[in-house]
Amino acid sequence: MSVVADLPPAELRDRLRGPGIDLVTGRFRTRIVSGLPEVTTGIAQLYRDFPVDGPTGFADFHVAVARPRGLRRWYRPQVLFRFDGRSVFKPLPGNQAFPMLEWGLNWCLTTQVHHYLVFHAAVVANGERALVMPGPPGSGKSTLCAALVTQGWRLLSDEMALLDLESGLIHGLARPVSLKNESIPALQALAPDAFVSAPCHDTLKGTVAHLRPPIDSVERVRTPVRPGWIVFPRFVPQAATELLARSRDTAFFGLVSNAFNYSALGDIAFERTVDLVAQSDCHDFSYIHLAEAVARLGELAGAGTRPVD
Amino acid sequence: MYRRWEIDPHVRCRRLDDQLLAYHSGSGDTHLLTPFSDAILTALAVGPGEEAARSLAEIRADPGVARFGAGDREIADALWMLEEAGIVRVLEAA
Repeated sequence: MSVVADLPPAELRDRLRGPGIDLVTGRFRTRIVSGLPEVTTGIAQLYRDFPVDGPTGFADFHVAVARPRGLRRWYRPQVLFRFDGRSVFKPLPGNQAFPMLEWGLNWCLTTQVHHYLVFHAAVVANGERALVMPGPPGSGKSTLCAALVTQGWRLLSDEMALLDLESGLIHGLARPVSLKNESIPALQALAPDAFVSAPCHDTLKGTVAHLRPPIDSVERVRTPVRPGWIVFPRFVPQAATELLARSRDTAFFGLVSNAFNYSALGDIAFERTVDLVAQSDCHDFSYIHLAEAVARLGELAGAGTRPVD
Repeated sequence: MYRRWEIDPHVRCRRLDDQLLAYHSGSGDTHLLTPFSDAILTALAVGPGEEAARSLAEIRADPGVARFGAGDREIADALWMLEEAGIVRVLEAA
């Protein structure tokens, strides 16, 4: 299967504008249609190394990003995200087409995927072990995730941990990492060679940009990893970098409060969440400086884990 | 009235380090049990083929419960709270 970078820009544009493309992120195939140049550019830049084909056969999600009909197609243009032909969000200003695609894809996963237990968490891997970082928006998990992947950790996801209900392994998506506001220059200072998209201003989340996933993470995306560490990150201005052990019972409830489908899945979600916590070392982590944070988590990974008997 | 208690059949228990978690598949609620409730549930846990329900006297006599030195009133209160949470159920017989 070819990757996005294999498609000449005009062909990518024409396919997106016409029948669409099937973009493969991990174990999911998303059929995307859009005639908007911001979407074409975003996919070309940020999904450069991802498999693409079709559209052929089955796709998990059918999405489109398009201008609305009527006046707002032309006057102060807006964009809509459509899922199965249905608009699922309020329209956003036209310059936010690519962020809207990303938010829409997150919505698809969190509302439609129930064959995994899905946590609101960033996940990276060091060797064969996963570092799961649960947290609500604003906790700093995406920033920390971006910093770690630019320093050699493998990216699984900056937004959701997909726990396999049978194997208990964690699957990745390796999609672009979302950066907001001050985290954009902070990441660029830490990793000046990393590709970060042009910032999109005045969104609901402030200024947003995306980090292109490392090619190694994209190529290994279908290889799941074992749990290793659960770290609850917290970006705290004017605080020292601090990693404190957290009891497994409070880690369990911290994870449950960040799960999208724990209640929907029932018993199996309870069992798998206990298994996940039992196999992991659990910590609270406050940080402000990315380089210090990366170093501290590197030490943690180097120290191994202490699984429950 | 003769009362006996047993773990609700819809409850699953798992231990994390020294803490006991109980999940009720009907309500979907997950509970973290106190050490005393943990001891009571351990007293009520039975192997295959064993009689599940225990009387208050049997629970009080269990070594894990007895080490707390609690009287019937404290044990009954704890059982009532576990019953309210759906973790145990009471069987009544004349």
